[in-house]
Amino acid sequence: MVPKKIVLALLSFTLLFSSTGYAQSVGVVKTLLGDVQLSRAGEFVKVGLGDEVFIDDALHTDSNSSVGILFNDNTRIGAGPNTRFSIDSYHFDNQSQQGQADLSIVNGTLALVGGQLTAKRLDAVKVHTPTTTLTVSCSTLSVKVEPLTKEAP
Amino acid sequence: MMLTHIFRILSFLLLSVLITGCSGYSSAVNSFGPETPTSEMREEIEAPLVLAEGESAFCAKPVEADPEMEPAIAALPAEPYRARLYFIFDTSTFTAESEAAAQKVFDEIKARQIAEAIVIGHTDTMGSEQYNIGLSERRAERVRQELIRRGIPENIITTKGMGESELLIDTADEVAEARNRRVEIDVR
Repeated sequence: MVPKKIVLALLSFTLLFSSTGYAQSVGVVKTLLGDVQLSRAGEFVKVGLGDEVFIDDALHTDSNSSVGILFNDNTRIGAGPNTRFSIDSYHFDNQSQQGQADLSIVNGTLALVGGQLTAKRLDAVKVHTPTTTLTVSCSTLSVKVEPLTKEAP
Repeated sequence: MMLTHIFRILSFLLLSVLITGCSGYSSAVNSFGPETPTSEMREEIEAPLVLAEGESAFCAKPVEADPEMEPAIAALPAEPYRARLYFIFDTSTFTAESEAAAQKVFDEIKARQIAEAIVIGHTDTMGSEQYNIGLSERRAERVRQELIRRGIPENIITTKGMGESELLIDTADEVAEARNRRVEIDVR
């Protein structure tokens, strides 16, 4: 009986924790071309213009597709076709204008223009690729990740 | 005695040869060094050294254009735009300059795929607090109506009236200040 209680307690705790994590949107989809999918808590949804994005969201653009997101601190990103990226962490305090963000790109192309976060601290926004981590030290950044092995048709 | 005399003559001859030999060199021109008294490179060497222009040595050079990056760069949302429009005293009528500047705001909104316009009205400190809340709301509403008239969808506009609570130029109460009679428009 006891372990079951612990499991339940842990479960409710993680639910509580994740619900607070998801509570606030971190950005809005501002440009959209073609077909873009979003994976949130294991479910896939089609992305629409004006949609809000949250921490832990993973986005995937099809060929001939692209998406642009405006974050709360005015950081802007654009993702080209066949791109997979995710928002791993994001925190921006409106009062102090400070915080940090972590983005990951698995495949494709990503362009980024810094906003308030990088204006306050140059290494506040990090872009992780399969092989390295980049910071936005010159207010703009372009990343291209090519697949190591081509998928079989 | 004879030998020392010969030696003296010989040493004198040798010395005179050496002296004349040396005097021959004194009129020679240095064919290796520069002909001017100071080197032309001196100015260059003494000038302050500039390592790189701009914020960082690594930022000076723009990123090389890569055709594969173009769709991602094209997908970047437009930079958020902020504008202030000013009003004639105790009215919700734009000043002449703001009437012209308003057009730029509407163009900025129209240029976006999906825009969001936050319109916040303000007043100066003339009149009561309560009256000024109403006036600032009318100013924000005036902008909203103007946006709708120019074809901007109603649902993307948010309005708010702050009255005299957020002055741009800090003044005492009952002071007419043109720069405080404004709306701030945030286009995202």
